[in-house]
Amino acid sequence: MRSCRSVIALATLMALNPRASDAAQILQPALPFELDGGVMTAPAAADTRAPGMAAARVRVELPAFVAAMNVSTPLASRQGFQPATLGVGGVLTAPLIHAAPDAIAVNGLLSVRYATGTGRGGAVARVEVGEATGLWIGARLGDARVDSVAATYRAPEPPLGLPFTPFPTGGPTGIGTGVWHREGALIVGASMTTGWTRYASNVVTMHPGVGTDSVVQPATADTSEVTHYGTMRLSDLWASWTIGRLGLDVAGGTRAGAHLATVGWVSGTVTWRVVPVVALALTAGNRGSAVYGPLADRGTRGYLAAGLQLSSWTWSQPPGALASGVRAAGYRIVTAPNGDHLLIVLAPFAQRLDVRGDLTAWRDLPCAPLTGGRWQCPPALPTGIHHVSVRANNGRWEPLPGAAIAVSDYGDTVGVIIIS
Amino acid sequence: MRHWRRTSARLIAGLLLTATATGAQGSAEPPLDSATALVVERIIDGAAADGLPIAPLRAKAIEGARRGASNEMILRVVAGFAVRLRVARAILRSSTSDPELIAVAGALTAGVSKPAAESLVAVVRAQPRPMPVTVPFVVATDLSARGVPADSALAVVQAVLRRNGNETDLWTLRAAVARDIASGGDPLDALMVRSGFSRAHQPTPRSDGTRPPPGTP
Repeated sequence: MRSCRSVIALATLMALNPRASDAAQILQPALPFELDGGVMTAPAAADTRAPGMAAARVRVELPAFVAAMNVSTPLASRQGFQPATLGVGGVLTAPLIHAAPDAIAVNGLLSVRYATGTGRGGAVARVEVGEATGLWIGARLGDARVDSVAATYRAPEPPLGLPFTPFPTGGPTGIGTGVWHREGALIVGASMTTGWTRYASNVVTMHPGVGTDSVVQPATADTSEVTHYGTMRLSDLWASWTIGRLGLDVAGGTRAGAHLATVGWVSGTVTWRVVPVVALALTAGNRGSAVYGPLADRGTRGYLAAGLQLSSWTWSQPPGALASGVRAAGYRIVTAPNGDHLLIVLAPFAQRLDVRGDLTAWRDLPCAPLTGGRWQCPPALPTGIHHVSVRANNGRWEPLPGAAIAVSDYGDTVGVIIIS
Repeated sequence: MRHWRRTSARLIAGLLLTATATGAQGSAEPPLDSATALVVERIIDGAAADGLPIAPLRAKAIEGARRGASNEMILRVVAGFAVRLRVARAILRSSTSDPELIAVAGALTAGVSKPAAESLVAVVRAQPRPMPVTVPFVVATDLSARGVPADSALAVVQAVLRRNGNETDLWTLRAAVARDIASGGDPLDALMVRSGFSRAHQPTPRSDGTRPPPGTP
């Protein structure tokens, strides 16, 4: 895995900047690039009647795009050979609206989700209050989960193949809302969604037989399909706590609706990071399966699953790094043809980006938009150490993302970059 | 060289008054009053006379003015940083670059003790392949700003270098620790895990509750 990380880092480095002297700075930005892989077993996978299942996932996260590939297969199924299930999916997010008065940010994001064979979409609006609290409201079309973007605010995901599902899917079309709050190492949240599901049922019309003494015509029946709609209401509460190597995730919720029995579900996951790149996890729930989630209707039995994660980096994304669309996500130092070192900041969803620091004599200077969500910030960087802050869409000043930080003598935190 | 720096200092102090006054027109920030500007000029002049870099001192003054800090605070910050630059030069002793001085002074600002800084300088200079002290001190300052006790951060940086680590290893360590902390991890735990040290190897906390840096008896 170390070699994998090295290859990725090298490839990223070569793609970003060929100057070896900038290697250190390019290796450490917060560009949300993450690659995970893992395996799991599910001894109680009721849907396959197999004693267990194996699953693995590879996940790559970029500022506006998350791509994932899953593969799962039953282990020694009693129903004979069953092929592995391969899933490929991705979520693309794009900005719709943004407003950022003091301490509150309203972000509207369009989330388009693709999962093997189906293209679905949804839109989410988020209101963030400070760094720790927020509310999301969303709608979906198709099977896309309205929380697909908001969910990035929740706790670090458990090891791969052990999908902790605090936001179960509802009907094909629905609306939802949720809140989250972070208090130190603890994150808690709740959500409610209502979905409208199309049901098709067969209506049989009987025609009695007609007969005479000599001829008997048997009774006949016509079958026609009738479509009607029913609502499905989902609610859940979840909490995630990470301290040191130990992570705990608990969740519970209910599902109720027309044509459905009201069910409650709970699940919990304990994660232990053995070494930085390897984590073990144990997860259990009272219904569903570890592969398809608690409300997947693939079985009503509980499940117990153990998983192993191999991660090139930590599996968790700093909260907000991906989801908080307007904030800057990373930076690069590039060398112009004339030899100048230029500061390029990645902020795909920002409509405006300002920079300030000792380079600008602490004046607020606007950065110039480039393609691909990149911004070029003035002025050219001379050799030395520089303190830099950036601000997206007239929001708060923040340290240059991905850079080293230092506490300023005047109280806040600034980014530190070294040009050698 | 010193003559040039002294001349530059006077020039910069003059520019400082102008810059703050211009800033006041543009963004309603209060300029330094003439008495404050005079004291800043003397501090910068003294630094120039001692051969210290004056650009960061000027930047501190301008930063304070732009942020609307009081004149007293600006004076305190500029004077304090000049002192730390002098301490940094005493730590580095031999000929050194401005970035190195600034990096060490920044670490001192973050709470790194002088003996710990001297120890790290000695380790960096004992590396088989020469390297500036800039990155080790910037990484230690970063870790400290994220909540790791300053001397613990410095000790771990030192340990990484003793294990033949290089600047890239330090940046990688910094990034990993930053991610763990952002995910809710305890800063010291994150540093220990990511650097390969076990918390069990940590010395017991002192009676005042502070934790001595790893490697100390």
